[in-house]
Amino acid sequence: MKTVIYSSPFVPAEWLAAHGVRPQRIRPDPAAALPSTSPLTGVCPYARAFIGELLAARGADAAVLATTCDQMRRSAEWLAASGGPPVFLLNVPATWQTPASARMYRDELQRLGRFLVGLGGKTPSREHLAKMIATYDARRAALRGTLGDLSARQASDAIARYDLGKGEPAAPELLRGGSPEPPRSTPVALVGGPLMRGDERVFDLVEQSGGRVVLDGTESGPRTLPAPVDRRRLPDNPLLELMDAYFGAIPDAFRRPDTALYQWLGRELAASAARGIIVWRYVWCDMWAASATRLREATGLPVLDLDVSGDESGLARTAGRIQAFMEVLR
Amino acid sequence: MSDSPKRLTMEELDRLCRRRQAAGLPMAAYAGPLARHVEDGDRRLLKLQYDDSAAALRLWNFLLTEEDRLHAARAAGKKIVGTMKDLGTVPVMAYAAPNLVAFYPDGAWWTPCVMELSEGLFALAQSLGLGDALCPVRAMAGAFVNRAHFPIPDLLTCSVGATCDDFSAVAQRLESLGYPILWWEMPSRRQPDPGEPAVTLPGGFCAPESQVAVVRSELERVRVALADLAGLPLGDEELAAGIREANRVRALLGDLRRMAYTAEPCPMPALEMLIAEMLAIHFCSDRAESVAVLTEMLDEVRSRVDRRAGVLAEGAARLFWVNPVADLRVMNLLEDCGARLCGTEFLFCHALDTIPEDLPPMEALARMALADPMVGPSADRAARIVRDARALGAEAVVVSRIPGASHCAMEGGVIGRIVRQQIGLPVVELEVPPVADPLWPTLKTRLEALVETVLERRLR
Amino acid sequence: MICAGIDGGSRAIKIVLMECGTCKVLASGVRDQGVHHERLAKELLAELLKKAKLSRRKLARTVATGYTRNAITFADTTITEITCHAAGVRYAVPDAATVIEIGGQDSKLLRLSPDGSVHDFAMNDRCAAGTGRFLEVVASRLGVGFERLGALAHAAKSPAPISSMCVVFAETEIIGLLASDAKPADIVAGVQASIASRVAAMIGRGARPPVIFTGGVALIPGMADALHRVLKVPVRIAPKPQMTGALGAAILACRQAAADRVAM
Repeated sequence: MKTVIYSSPFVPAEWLAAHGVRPQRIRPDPAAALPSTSPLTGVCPYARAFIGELLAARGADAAVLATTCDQMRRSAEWLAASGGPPVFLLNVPATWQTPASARMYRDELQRLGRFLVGLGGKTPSREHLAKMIATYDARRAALRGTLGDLSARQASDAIARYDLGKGEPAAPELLRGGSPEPPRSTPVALVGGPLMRGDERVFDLVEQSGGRVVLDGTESGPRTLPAPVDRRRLPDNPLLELMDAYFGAIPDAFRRPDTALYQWLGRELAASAARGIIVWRYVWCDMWAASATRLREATGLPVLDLDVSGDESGLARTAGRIQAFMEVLR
Repeated sequence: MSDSPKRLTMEELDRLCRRRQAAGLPMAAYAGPLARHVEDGDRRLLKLQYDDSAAALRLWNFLLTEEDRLHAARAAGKKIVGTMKDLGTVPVMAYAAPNLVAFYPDGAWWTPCVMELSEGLFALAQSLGLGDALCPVRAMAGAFVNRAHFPIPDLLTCSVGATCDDFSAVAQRLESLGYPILWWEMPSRRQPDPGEPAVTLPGGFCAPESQVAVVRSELERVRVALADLAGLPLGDEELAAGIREANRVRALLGDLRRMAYTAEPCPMPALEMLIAEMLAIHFCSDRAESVAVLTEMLDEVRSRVDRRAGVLAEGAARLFWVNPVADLRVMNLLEDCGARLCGTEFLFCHALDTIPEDLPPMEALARMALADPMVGPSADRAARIVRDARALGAEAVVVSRIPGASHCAMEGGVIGRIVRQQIGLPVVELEVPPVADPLWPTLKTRLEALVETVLERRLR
Repeated sequence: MICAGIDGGSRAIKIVLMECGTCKVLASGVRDQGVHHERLAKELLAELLKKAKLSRRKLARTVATGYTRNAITFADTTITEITCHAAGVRYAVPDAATVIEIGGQDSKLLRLSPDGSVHDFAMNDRCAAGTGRFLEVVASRLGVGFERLGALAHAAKSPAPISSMCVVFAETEIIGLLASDAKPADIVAGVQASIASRVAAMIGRGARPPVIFTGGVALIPGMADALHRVLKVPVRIAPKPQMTGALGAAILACRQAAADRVAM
């Protein structure tokens, strides 16, 4: 079975699985990143790592990238010219207010389906698609059911496992780190872009500095899990349910307007009682570039704007800034 | 204004202007010495060098009085549309209504006025969280906040999707400050799949019919909003008339470019050609006047070509320039280094192409919008650059990077590779910040070295 | 006919006096750069003329190149170091196809045409990480003289990976490496590898041999090997690599002087 890697939360795993390929939403390995020198100067570390991961022939037969950010959109073109595995660029609409944008997303999913068939997959019947959606929906429900018992680090690891298609959620005791809740720790929210492999250390860094992440609003966290599907309507129009669960529900910084993201953040911040916000973004990421100031204005909370270089040399800097922020919050 | 055209300092140009005024020679109502704009704060004007023609003086005055025109339009009861990101499509629609004026708030980033305004607009943008990791378009946010430049538009439209992230972030920040925006989707242009119905767009790119349909339906939303704002119908008849008028501007510009970029010696400096090209995208807020300005420019160039009068020495190295420069002085610099422009791709070559008049207007506009080189792969853009560079006899290509612009990270490499492979020309990338003074030696060395390379290649 | 080539670099001024008919170098010299670029160039030129037993009047033409070329106002013309290095390297290595020049402030890649002219070039002059400056920073951090770096690198067993894009952050990395007992030799080797990889990135897909390495940094043992490891083609050091810019300027001065004579 062919393995297709992707990183965007708007790529529905069950759509890939229904077409007979193995979907893996990866957190790219920074060690695989192509160097930041020309011609990739100004390309964010995440995109470089994704490119490197695909070109390093680590078992991926193809990749799906999305237009949700310029860096990945341009990376798709770069990869297509590189002679590596086949790449599909999923055009995810930035607008969401009109039926036209939903139709565009649907048409793109169908086009993706044709790409998957070209890889050796098979167009699923309506029943098979509905069954696959239900299966993934159930897995996500089980995953959601465990997240509340886990620390943020454990939850992040659990989601990463789910994204990689590693079956049922692991029991909490099998997940690393985080628990029990440190005494008198300062609750903070971590909000922003995606994590690369190993970036989960940021949760540890917060704890080591006397805090704990009570809200993971990164692109790799629960924020971007699709909504539960309506099982009653699923058999009639599974594709529509899929679209609603993904395109209709996931709040993100790239959407225009990004109202849903700030509504989600507002709700979740209030529920989590976070006393500060850490904005997580890579150097050269424009999507989250202005968010620190906006979050400060919108929430009144202290905000740490953490631009991360994605390599080991930046780790001490990241740790130092988190430590200073936690001191401020205390 | 002289038999031997030359470049002048601002003071010299203003002396000529005052002589014209004293002699009672006809001048546009908005014309006058450029020094009055320096008094307003456009200090960068002092460092530029200008063509010495009456046509260039009119062009500069036309550019620098745009804000006055916008305020006058507001005072006269016209509605103002701020069109963002799409370059050249929505203004065609807006100007089809007699009581609408459209301009690009984001266009402020490249005009001299913002570059040395005590860093004011950039500092304001910084205070909003828009720092220099984002491209100079962020100056627009500062202009909305201090309200000291253009009037706040009655309607803001912005294309999103296949657009630069930094621009998108700036526009979203603007909306968060209380400026509602009509967002419309621009899909990422792709090659049609085998068997998929396809359309050839103006300029030569190919796209699936389905994508044209998406853009058409999105522009339909914009049309409705414009019609509501105008309080007038904006049907096919009005739009067709608007397209014809826009094509008049494009035709004039096409003639001007062809003549100026192919004649030897070079009849018009690079800086004036850059300014002139910008008129294509929104007519500098006065469509009729932009026709007059371009007509005068074309007449001047034609006159110089007829008498073989050039503003530069013969034999200057022929450069094809990609991307506009944040610091306009670099357009003077390239000539100081012994080069001349022979072609350009300033991010909006689609706005220079003729809009089809044999199609229903909304279909024509949708195809035009989708032909934007920035919404498709860099390889497409490179293909057009290769085609134009070859046709215009370019001897080298310069790719100017805009600091912070997310599209620049990879596309320079793609364009360079394709140009070298297909036409074997040397390609140099330069990064040009809004005030390039600290980088002057390095920019100069690169351009001089490129000219030396070109001249040596000629000997082979 | 005697001509002079002056390379006013960021770290040193180099001058070559050439007899144009035979293309023979009559005298050459190097002096550390300072604040008064033109005065230093004049002093060095006077010294070399004296050594060659020539008077200033004998000079048919002078070409200045390098970072401070525009400050050397007594030169007849200025030509960029790109063109001059190409000419200088070709004089010494007639079949050179690719030239890598790493100086104190910048690094350059030149692709030469079969006739020796520059076909295309790329420069890194905005980031110190691919230049001699990086090695200066390392030498300072390790408390060794610049000239000892090569010997240190030679003793490296396992080059330390340096990941930072910026020399300032790389310096922080080096401090961290020293604190964790990394050997200075391995650090120097790691820095050389980092510089080499940045230069290689300018080259893109494949360096056409012969690849000739020139500029002041080519004098540091180990750098050519570091480039060879990254480029996977043999890398030869130009003879007198610090002088190729001035040599090229002198050659081009000769050509210009000859052309002037024909024109007259």
